Amino acid sequence: MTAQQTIDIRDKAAIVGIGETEYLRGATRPSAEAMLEATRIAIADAGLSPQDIDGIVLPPVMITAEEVAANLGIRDIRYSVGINMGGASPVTALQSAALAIAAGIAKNVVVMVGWNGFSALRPKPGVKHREVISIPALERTLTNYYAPYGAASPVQMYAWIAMRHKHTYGITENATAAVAMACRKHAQFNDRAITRGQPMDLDAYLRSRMISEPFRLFDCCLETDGACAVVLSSAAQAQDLKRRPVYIMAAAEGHPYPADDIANRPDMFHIGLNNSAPKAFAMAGIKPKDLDFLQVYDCFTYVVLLQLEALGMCERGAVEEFVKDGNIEIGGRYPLNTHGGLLSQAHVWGLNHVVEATRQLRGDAGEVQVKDAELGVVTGWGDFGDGSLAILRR
Amino acid sequence: MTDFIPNPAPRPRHYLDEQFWEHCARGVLAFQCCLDCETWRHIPRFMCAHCGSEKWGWRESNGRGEIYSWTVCHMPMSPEFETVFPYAVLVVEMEEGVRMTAGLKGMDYKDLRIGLPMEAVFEPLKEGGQLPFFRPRSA
Repeated sequence: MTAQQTIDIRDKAAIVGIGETEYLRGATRPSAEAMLEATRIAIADAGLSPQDIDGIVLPPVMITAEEVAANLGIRDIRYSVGINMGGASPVTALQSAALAIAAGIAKNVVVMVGWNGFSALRPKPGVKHREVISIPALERTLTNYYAPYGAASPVQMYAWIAMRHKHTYGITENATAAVAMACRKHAQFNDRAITRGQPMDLDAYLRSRMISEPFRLFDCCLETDGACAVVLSSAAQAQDLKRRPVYIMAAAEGHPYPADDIANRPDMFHIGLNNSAPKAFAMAGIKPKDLDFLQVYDCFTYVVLLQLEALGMCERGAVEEFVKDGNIEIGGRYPLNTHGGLLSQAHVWGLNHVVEATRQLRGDAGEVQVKDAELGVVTGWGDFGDGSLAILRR
Repeated sequence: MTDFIPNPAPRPRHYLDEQFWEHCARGVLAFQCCLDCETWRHIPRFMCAHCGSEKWGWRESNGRGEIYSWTVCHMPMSPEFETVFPYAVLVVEMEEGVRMTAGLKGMDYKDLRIGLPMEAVFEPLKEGGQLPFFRPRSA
């Protein structure tokens, strides 16, 4: 038996195109239409035509690979898979796309996400239609063991992890405030950010109402409508395309154990990212301290804190020290979510984090450009703490 | 397809869930226990993740545990809970080693802390059956 039978995905694929729709509250079209718009923009950004796309990787969104192909006129889909890791799906999709490209199965793979997370997920006055999302891995646990007690939303269930962590390590509201304020600060420079023009100080954060302890309103991400997409190609082809390639140095997915029940984990703070991060850093051959910026899935502020520890940016329990004094703000050592994140730009399942990381490594990030950015990480968090990451370089 | 709006009554997927809730309906808190390696488990599973055995039985819990974590919901996510908020949802570590989620009875949520000794009590569900909650007990 030979020692090396694995497919090496390091540096084999690159992000070559990005696309975003407007992010808003109050979409009047189905999310499928928005996803197709973002995809058309991403394909054009790469300098490709729709017929060049031969791979489609989808999170559990309201469009199928078949519909995408039929709308875009793609006649020969060679690779299509669905990822069921909730908000971690888009970053996991990068791993899947890179794998398909490294293996020679597909040449140009599109990853897209879109939803009407404001207009159609929870009932709102005047809404004409509902769109729901699929969470098959969690449904049995939710409907039998959590929902009967009134815990059926991520804000309530992630709170169990956060509450125990907070009490175990003495984390204060200064730590969650630092995450919320960094994202809000960065959003002030972003054209697509819902909260542009609405800066937030510590007093405003602390005055925000409690949703599910320890989460306040400003610990929670935005509910928005919109879509984005990225196109990946082989590293070889990427050099001949329109944009400066952003290479996938490494990607990995991780799941906590058991993944379908938060309560019965031997170590509640061991999240999916604790499993995936060491693999990705080993694949990339870099250390967490080498990163120039962090795009971390921020459905809730405390979820960012947990991921920073799992990434290895600091020791477990030391995250308050890591995020203080502007360390995660632009101009600091590790700028976090330079587009504003889910907390202050828009909630596009973190594919907007991939788009922003690409802009940073192209040198196109405008006023929030991280100087000489060469290495960045994007994380995804989904379901009950699944965690993916991709390490990107220019 | 699922949405985030809960139906408060448990919705068993198969007989494992049904049997857990049937015990509760009789006022008995019972968990699965592996007949080969004696490892207790929850939520119900077909196999023992510790030893791989498919042989198991239901065993009655002594109903005693301690607070492992909790949240306090200030914004009800479904109409069923609008009249009771703010309300706590606990994670309780049972003396048998398993943990379960449950509601709180008999104390102010502001006094919750990790390690607080608790005991199970049952409350009727309006849809029928009973739901286990936890109240403080003297250690």
